[in-house]
Amino acid sequence: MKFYLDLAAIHGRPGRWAVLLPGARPGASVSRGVELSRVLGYLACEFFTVRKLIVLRRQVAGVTAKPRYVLRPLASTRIPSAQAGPWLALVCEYHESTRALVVVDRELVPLAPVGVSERVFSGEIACEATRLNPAYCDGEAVTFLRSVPAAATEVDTLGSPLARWREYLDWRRKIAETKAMETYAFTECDARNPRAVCFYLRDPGSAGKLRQRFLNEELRVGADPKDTRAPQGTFRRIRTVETAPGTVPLVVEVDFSAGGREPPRLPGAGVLRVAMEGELAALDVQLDGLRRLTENRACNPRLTEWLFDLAKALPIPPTAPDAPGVNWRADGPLNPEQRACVDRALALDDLLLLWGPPGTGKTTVIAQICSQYARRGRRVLVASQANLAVEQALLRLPALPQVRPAWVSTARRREGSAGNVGSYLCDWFVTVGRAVHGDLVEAKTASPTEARWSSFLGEWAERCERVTAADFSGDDELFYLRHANVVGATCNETGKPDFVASPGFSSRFDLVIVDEVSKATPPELLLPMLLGRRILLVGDHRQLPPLFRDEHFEEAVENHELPRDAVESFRDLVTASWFEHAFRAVPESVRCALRRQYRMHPNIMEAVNLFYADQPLAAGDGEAALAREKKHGLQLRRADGRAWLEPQHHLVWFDTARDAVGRPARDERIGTSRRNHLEAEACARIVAELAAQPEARRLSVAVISFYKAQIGLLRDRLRREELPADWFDPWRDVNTVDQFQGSERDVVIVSLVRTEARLSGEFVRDFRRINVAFSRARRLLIILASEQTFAEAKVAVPGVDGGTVEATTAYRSIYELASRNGACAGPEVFVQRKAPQA
Amino acid sequence: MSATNCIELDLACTFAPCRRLNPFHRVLLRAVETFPVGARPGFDELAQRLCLGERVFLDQAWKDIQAFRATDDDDFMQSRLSVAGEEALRAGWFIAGEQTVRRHTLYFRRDDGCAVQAERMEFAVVRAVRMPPAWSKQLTTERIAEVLAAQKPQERLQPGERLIALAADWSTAQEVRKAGLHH
Repeated sequence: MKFYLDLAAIHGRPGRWAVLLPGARPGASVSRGVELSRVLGYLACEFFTVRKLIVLRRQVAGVTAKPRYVLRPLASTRIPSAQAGPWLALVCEYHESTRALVVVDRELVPLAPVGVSERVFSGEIACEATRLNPAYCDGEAVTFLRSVPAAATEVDTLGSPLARWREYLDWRRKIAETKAMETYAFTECDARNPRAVCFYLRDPGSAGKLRQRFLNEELRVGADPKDTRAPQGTFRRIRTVETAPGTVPLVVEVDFSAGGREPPRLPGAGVLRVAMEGELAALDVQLDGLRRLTENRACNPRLTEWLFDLAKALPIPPTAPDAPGVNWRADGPLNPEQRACVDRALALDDLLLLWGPPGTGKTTVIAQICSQYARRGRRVLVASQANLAVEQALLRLPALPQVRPAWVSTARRREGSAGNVGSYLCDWFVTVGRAVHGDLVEAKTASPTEARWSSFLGEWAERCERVTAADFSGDDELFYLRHANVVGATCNETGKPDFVASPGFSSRFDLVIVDEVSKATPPELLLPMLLGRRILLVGDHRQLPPLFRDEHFEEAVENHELPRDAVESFRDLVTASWFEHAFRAVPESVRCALRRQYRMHPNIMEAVNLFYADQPLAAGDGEAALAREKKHGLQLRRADGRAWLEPQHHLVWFDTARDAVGRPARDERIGTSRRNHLEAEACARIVAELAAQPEARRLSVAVISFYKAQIGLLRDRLRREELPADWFDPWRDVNTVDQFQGSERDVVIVSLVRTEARLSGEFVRDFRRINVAFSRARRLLIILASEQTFAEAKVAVPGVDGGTVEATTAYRSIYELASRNGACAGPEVFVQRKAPQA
Repeated sequence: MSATNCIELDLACTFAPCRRLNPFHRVLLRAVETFPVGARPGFDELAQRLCLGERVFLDQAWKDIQAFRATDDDDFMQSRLSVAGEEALRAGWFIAGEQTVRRHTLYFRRDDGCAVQAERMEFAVVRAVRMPPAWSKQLTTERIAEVLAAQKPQERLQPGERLIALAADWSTAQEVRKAGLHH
């Protein structure tokens, strides 16, 4: 085989160029280090503008040893003087724009780390091979390149998704940066109503553009545009006000009452700007995660091999019944399928996917796995897209001295030296104290020589149980954090420099568990995955995917900077469930599923099972036991004294098509959101009546809705009821379905808002959103909705394994279930009927 | 200020950065105190009996104890409590840095020793104090620390700093009364 390289021909003709070394052939035993060095040196001399030169090197320690592949990015054109090890063919790509040349060992194509492949193999290699110029490569070389189309395909699956993710994040960052830089001066501020503080803009410009920019954003208000601590509120709306003839200033309304916080002091004049610091920081962290992956800095050296082709993850071998460690003792009750999941998690090498529909005990399994790993002296990271899931998982951990949990949170760390680590440290001491007490009780019959120990340990146990945060310094807390073996953090937190490279704290974990995977975008997921030797992904792709916000890109589309197709592709990227794809792609040996649920009363489960038709959920310990356990004992009465909700009703449809006197109800559009006063009123009445019942005061209650505007209305209305704060807090217990995912309550009231005759739009017909909304209730689910609006709505429900998509009238089925097993009522229950005339 | 005469007293206050004993420090000091040399368990056994799972917390605590010179030997198995160690166990904290002495003049009611806020007041000297009054024994570091915190906010202690010793100079103490007041 001949080797030619005409650099003059390459220069000025960007594209892909194959450079073959003599004797190159897959599997051939060659040692061409000298030639390679010569070639590279030649390239470097010729291309003095080359900025990036990446060399993939294959190292073989011994004749029989398994080859090890090393990626060496070279920052400059410096070429290693001596190249050891066998080299095969090379493929070069020369970019005119970036002046970058990338060289890859041909044999490594299937294993190529993404950083290299994304540049080299972003197209069809086979196609490129046909364009090879025989002047530079002889026939054998061309044949060789043509023989590897399979490898090219594999590489494409590796590089392409990452490039797309980077493109998406780059765009988000660019837009966020633009938003962060823009300020809007206001000359007057009317802060009489903290829920709608009005700012009068000096140079109003276009209301439409501003609305687009502010929609769903948090705004900062201050005299200094660079003040990152300026008061922050939620954008409500923009309106025009005629103040003097000929002048129509724009008024921006901002809500400063979110979270029930005190209204801040606001300047009379200053600037408004979109608060983008958090988003920019999060995007930077995610971009850094992609960079770390391309630089092969993952804790699992094989991550780049299987990340985009999960079939390559090492299979989990079936555990022999007599294998050591098989008969582990569970720290708490587990059903057989939960135990099987823990078994697999204990045996996994690369990856395990755990699918768990609502209430099937995902958190229980996570807690059990953490505890089993900790018992074996290993460290676990529990991550999730939101704090809630992390907190839940840490709360469920068995109280064992061997388990040392800690939750890492930047927001909390700002409040103290090590955030809330102190509270975990105190809790751990209490656990230690109890364990010592337990040992002492057992040792009571032991020999009298133990007397000294007994007194010493008794004192220690007592002290442990009495510790307070004041007993520990910041250094003590940090030391505990370094030795915590179950660390919790949000996905983004795990990518921050504080977490990844904190002195004394190892960010390498034996196992990384990511919960609520379906809610996280792949760049978010990647951050904790980079830190784990083994990865366990837990989720339910039949729940909500991450939120995609079109408005982020709208301006770029309008300015023709970004084609609309690209936005659509970004939407697919964000909302298509990576977990769903992954769960179907992986072999049986690296996935497991939970199907026995313990959360919902069987009647509620029956409604939720409409979304799991081909693989329905089963009642944990049998329907009778679950029904007994999920009693609510509530009774709500009509104005005339008759009961409309009885203790045996667990699924209730409260029809809001018409008001109490029979007038048709109407919902109202607020920007892109909606609200419904009738449902807000009905909801407030129901919650107030529940509050009056002693049985209800023992139960937890939440109100959820698909629409943000309805949440605002519900909070305002429920606040007026002055409900006991320890039982129901409108800020905590009223939320959108998207925000409420991961939570559960005994009683859940869902307000569906819409009233039109023919339901339009996909939002309320997304089966995942309906599934989440209706699966939050343990004992009683009350649906406030117009039956006539929702009855005919078609809901597309795909099979669990990605089979046929069925368009069902799911809402109608739920209404029918409520009629059959539960109750149906309407606003007339609040009205005293006139006695029939004699 | 009442018409009662006061005692004007100079105090040399010794301050030092201190570190509170955490439960690991305390348990190790207690182990040294409880188990005599020869019958003392090692860190591995101790960690197991204390249900700590790992000895790493004890190792770290022992490093601190050595730094504070709370024992007379660096080897846990051979060590005994030093005076500093006994004091730390009693007080609940270690001295963890350089000591500094600052002088303060404070005023106490002659009859009961109650501290008097006397900033920006003018006093007339009545007589020198020949004998420390009976209440002089109540002038403990804890009490003077409280008086300083209340009367001299500019003397605010650094985080972790404590008043660890006190020397009252009774040779220069004098009985005073507010200028203009006459019995």
